[in-house]
Amino acid sequence: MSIIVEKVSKKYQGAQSYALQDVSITCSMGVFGLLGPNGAGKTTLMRILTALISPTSGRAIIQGYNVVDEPDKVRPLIGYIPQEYTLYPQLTVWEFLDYMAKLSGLKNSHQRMEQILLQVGLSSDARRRLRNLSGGMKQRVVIAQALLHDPPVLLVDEPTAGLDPAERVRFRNLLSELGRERTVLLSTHIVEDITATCRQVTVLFEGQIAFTGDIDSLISSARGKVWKAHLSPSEWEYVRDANLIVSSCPDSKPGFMDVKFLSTDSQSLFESELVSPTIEDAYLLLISRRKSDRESS
Amino acid sequence: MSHLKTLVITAYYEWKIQIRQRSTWVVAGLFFLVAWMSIDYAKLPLDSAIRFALGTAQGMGLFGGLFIVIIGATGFLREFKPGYNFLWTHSFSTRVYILGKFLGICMTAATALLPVGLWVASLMVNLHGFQSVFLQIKVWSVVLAPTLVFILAVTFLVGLLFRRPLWTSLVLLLVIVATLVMNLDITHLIGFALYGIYGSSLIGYGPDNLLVTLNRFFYLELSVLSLLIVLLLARILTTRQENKSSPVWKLIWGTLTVVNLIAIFYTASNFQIESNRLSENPPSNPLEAEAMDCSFMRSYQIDLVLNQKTKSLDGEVVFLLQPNAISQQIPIRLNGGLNISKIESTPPGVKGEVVKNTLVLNFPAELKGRDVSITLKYAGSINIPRYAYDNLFRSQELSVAPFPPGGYVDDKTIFLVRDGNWHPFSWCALDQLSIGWIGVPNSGIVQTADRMVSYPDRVTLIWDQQPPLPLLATSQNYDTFQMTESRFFVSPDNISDREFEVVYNSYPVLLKQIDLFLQEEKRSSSQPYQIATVPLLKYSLYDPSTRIYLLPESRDVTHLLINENNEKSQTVINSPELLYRRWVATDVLRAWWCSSNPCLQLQAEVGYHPIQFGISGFEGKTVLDALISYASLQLAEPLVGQQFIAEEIAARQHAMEDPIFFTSLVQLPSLYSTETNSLVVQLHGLWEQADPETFWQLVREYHRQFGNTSLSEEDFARFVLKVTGFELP
Repeated sequence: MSIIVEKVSKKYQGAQSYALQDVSITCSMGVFGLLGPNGAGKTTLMRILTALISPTSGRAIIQGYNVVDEPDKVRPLIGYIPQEYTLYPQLTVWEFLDYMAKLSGLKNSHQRMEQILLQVGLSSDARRRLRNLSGGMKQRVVIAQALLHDPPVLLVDEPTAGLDPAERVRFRNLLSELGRERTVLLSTHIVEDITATCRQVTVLFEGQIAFTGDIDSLISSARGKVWKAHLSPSEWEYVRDANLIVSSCPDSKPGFMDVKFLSTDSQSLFESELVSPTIEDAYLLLISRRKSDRESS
Repeated sequence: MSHLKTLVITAYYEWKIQIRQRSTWVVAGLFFLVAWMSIDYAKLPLDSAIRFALGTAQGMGLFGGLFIVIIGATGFLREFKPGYNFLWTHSFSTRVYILGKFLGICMTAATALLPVGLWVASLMVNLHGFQSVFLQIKVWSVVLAPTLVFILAVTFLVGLLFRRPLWTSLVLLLVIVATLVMNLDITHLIGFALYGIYGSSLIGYGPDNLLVTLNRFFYLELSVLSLLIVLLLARILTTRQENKSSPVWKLIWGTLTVVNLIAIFYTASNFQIESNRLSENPPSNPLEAEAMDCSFMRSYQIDLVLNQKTKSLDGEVVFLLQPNAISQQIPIRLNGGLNISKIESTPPGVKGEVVKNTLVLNFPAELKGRDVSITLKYAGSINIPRYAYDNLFRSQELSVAPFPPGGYVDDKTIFLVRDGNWHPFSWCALDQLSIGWIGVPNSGIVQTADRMVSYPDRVTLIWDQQPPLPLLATSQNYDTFQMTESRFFVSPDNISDREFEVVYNSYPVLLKQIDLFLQEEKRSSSQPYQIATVPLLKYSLYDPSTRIYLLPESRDVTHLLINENNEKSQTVINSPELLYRRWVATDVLRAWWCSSNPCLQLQAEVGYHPIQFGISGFEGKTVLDALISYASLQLAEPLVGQQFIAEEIAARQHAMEDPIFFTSLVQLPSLYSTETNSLVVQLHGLWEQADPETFWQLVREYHRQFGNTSLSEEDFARFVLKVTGFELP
């Protein structure tokens, strides 16, 4: 296994609660999704895996090396694409990659840089200053720096936030491509990113694992609980108050709505039909259950 | 090896990032502007190269310090922001990375200061020639570099604790500004060299060299210590995981820390020792030597050797006395760096010891009333106490006192004047003086000896009677120039070529005037005047018999030569150049007046800086002041012209009638009291009544009969009548 996380907990100094609690996951070759709402602990886990912070308890192992005990051996094995980044606006793409390559101790770095620039589609922009690049291009530069030393493990944190749809699709395809020969741990709160790239997913909620398994299992957990209905105004008010609405669209008839919602009960009060769940439906259902469990406890 | 690569690449890219940053150049430009505006261009041509280099280095220490704080704080803390997390996932050592950053910011500062340096260098080249650039590099390296390195190291330390560039910069800027408000410099360089860094081209940075060197090393060592603490804290305060240091690295870090601490301790102790050595207290009465008694001594001879290689003095003093008691206490003033090693007597039997400033001699009863020769063997290095440095940060009494050691010896430069504590009884007349000089051949030696004997290993100079005040001056650093009938031995970069003539050309003319009108023993006119600049001297010394004139190296004549208000005036008396020549005439005449007999009070008043004039302790010399003042005015006639003389007399009359005139910008008459001005006007009346030769005869007679004693005005009037046959108008 490329990544093994065993009962990892993290409590920041001065914090009331754990940012991560008893989290255990294993990832092998391919793209592995890490899904969760904001504040679920995804970035904390990423920072532990990149040896930027240490866990309060538990252990994280990458390619057989304990991140806490042997961080210097772990670093050459990982590439990190962070959620937020600042690049050196004064440097050109080429200079920036040269700097990162040399910091990583890479030999024959120029040949490798040319390969990577080709891979991320920035060959023609190598001499441009970073300040002059678009958001998508900067994102590709960050990917390039993570791939320079050809790491077997890629840790990707919220990568598509802020990208336009075309860049987002391009990025997903690149991730899939990269996942063919390495382990990619993709942390995101955007469900579509997971759908498009992963087979395995772990859902984090408030620092704990809410689900881990393949995507089909996650989807199956919502089977028989996703409904579609054409609702009158009074029915809409009832459904809205009692259920989690996944989508709603006003009908041409005034006051009527086409609605998709989640419900564990069979619907007899108004005309509705069961539909096949998507991963987004399953994710929302999972999170809403967790929230109600927490409120009831 | 990989650590070295990380160090180099981090430094290189930090430098590249910073110099491509507009803000770096905006801040550097701002400081450049302030530096540019702070230079007094009018005075520039008269500033010596070393003083200019020191001034700019100290100025850049301040501006550069502020600059370093800003670029250091932002540069060092940049990658600690969350946006740079990706960087820390690459394989490198945090410590090496921080050191690389440090190096990179040093390179940035050097690059940003380069335009200022080049600009200052261009001014230097223009004024003092290409060679002076090396002087600037040397001075800047010594004064500026350790200060900036230290400030950067502290910035790193504070930055690591605050983790916010703004807070770090604010705190350090406040510290720097507060330090300035308290009139201190950041690295306490002035504190180490209390009277300022003495800047002499002849003797390097001056007698406080070692203190300055120790200061610079101290701050470099503190910088290393700060960096070591930063590297230690970086492992504790940053969350980045790193492998534990190997035992080898622990050993290296530990050794480095211990060595650094030992070095700091060593430097501090040496500083203390050197500081104590130099902190000799000034005498309570700096002019006391004039009043000390010599009647106990029947003859006084000195035989010594000056060794430039060891910078030391080794010699013996022999004096003859006739004890009238079995115990005699004789005041003795010997330089703190010299020690009496042996006291012998002929006939033997005298027991002697030095207790504080007194030589206690115990004679056997049978020697009472007989001639006894006492020999004191002494050796050591001439110690230059800090209070003796030539600068403005002293009491008025000290600022006008003579240079107490009276000599200086190092491996390149040597000078000696008669009256100094390099021998124990400087107030007593010498019957014979022999100085052996072991040194390297110099471009020229200026000496007043009666005889000079050369041996393979030394040159011996012998004076067979009371020597004149100037004894010898020589330096490998001298530049020699010939001007009319004079040879000048001047310190390099002391004054710009452009101003050289303006500053020096009056001296040969005035010395010739003195020979013509005042010197009774006429010398061969073929003997050239030799004028040598000498470091640390307070005022000029002249020996008419050898025509050797020792000129203080450090002299601020800018206020006389540069005066914008005066330049606008139409009258010749306000011409800065003529006023300067006029002042040189007084300087030269006073040096001649005091050439045979020391007259420190009179010499003291010739100070060339305004604050040295009007010292209350030297009152009651109206007649002497007036006589020298008017005689020097007439001596200066070939240099200033008749109109100047007429205008000065008119100005003195005006000053007598209108006290407010005292504050006007007409400089020379305002320096004297109403009585002096009145007497000068009377002497001018005499000049017009009698012929010039009668007036010069009056001056010669006065000098011969009364020396530096000032007669009362009534006695002087009688004296004038007797010598000239005229009554004072």
